[in-house]
Amino acid sequence: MADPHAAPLYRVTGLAVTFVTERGPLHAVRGVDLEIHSGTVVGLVGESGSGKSVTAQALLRLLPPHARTNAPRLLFRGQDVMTMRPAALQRLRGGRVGMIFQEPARSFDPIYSIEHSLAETLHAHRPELDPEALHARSVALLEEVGIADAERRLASFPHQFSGGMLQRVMIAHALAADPEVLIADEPTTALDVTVQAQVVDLLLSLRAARGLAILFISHDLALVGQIADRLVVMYGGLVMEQGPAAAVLHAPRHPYTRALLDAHLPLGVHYSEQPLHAIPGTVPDPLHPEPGCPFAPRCAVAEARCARAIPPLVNEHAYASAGGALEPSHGTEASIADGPPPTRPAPGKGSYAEPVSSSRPYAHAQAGGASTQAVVHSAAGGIIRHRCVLPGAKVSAAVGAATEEPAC
Amino acid sequence: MLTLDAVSKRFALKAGYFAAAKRHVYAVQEVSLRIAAGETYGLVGESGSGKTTTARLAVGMYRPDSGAITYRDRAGEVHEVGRSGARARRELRTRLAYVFQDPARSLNPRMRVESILLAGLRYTTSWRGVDAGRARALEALEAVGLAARHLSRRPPDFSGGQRQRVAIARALIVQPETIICDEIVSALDVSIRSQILELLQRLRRELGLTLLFISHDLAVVTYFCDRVGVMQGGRLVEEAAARELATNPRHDYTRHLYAAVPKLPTLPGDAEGEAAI
Repeated sequence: MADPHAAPLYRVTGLAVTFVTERGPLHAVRGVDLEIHSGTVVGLVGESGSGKSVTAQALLRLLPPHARTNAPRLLFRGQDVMTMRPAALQRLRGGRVGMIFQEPARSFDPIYSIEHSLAETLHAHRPELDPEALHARSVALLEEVGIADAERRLASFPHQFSGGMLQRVMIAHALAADPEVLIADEPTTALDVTVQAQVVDLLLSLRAARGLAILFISHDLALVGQIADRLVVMYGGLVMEQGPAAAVLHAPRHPYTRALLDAHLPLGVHYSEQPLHAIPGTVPDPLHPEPGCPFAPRCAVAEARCARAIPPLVNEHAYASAGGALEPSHGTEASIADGPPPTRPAPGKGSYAEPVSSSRPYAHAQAGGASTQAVVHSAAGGIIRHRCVLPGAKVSAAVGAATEEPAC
Repeated sequence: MLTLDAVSKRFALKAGYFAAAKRHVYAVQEVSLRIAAGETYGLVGESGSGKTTTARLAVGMYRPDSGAITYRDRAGEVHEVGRSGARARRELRTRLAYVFQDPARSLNPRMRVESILLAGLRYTTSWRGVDAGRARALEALEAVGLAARHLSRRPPDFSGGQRQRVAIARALIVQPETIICDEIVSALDVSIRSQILELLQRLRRELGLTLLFISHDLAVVTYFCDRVGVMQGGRLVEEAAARELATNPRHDYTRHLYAAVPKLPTLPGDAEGEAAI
């Protein structure tokens, strides 16, 4: 893993995106903090409608005109993407940051050969190349992404490729201008599981060979868990929890992460032995967001205060090293009056961007009333942030105790 | 009991303007399988392996080029699927029902739920007029966890999971013995997927349903089914009890599929993590 103290390629805080629709404002992303360091794979997980793709598109300002993007900080290598001039933005998109999409078949113009479309991309970023150099570069790119007989395949059209092969061609496009970051938005969702494994292997080998940073977006926690160094779990347009992949998967702090892990069906279990863990209810309506935590209506440990205000996203070390004090559970309605004031403005007023808060996350009370205790846990380096803590969850108090590297 | 005996189905490739000979693609080749009453049979395989074609053959949506498909109902009557006349087809529709993959595409967005459900019943021998149909529509809707107030809504008013419930209700309204579920949870999020699988599990228990359950997801198929058939290139390459297949896949292709399934990583010695996950 890259040095976490080095300046990140991407640094995003408080990203919020609202779409203007006929039925009113649609709050797709309500507060995302994200950092992408060079050479690392950041996994962005969430169900459909959680705001993953919109977040990815906002990183390149690819959103349509009716999207209102608000970000106190959206920096690529220290440059503000929000105020970037068109020429600089053009160099960013497909230049320093490559992007691949879910359905390769829909991302290509069917009437152009692969050579034509690759040459077009290459020419846009490397106008100095002459036709011969373009051809040689195209062949090299196709070979790099593992397409056999690249010279001949260049003359083929998109429909002559299988889904997995076409996704490789798309990756070749994204690599054309030697980017530092690759944004992969559900790159394998439309593919068969065996082909998915090949594409994931390719991405990981490219990361190793080129030192690429990858933002890997998927709804499949197991898939993301296999390749990501860091995990960001989104729900209802908000980051629920983020941290090193191993820490998030093995000791999830947040109830939503826990529920997602429980809903995962591992190979080899059978209905006659084990019941399903369904998450009751449905995903929140982005047209009418509730004032509280978006997961609260489906959460097994939700309390009254969860529905009133969104718990702040808090850096675990910041409070754990100070003795592990968590915002305690109040439990009863009577004690709510002297509870903490809501940390965010009422909905409908002002921006939905997440206010920067340094307060403590919510600790959910156990049935017996015992509160969560901070326990030193090998967090395998990297910052862990979350909005609330499950009863009994182990919380890391060791600041920067990166003694163990994550296994994945 | 649904029996497929050496069934093959080929489709003509669209010939080009100057193409001389007609070429064919063999979607299903010599597939034989038997699904006992009350059993849940899973079909798994990659896209293009012939799962859906097999399912559509099983309900008579396609006619086989060779081989025979028979369905023996609870009363012991034997129906020949795919070769029967109009009257027999109407009758068969009260025994076999079909649920499609993507509810967003398989439900007409302009129709109200009530019309959608009644359409499922109208072209069967169980049709006794609109009033009787309405009573059954409500019954079917309640069986899938929806209520009377949903009858007047249209598909776009529902979430993906609810739409799939409507699609299941459309199958249930004919009070079938057997339901063919073609990738019915593939388009759904994990949290919703479990809800639909739970619903199906309850229905199968309460109604004694026979299910043909098709999915590309090996974990789902081996969890949900009693027996599983693995398809590759139009052929059935392995068939085993679900638990047997999950622990001891024999065919190379099945092993290949298994190896590709993403698994949640476990740390060595992390007993608690393993137990929790």
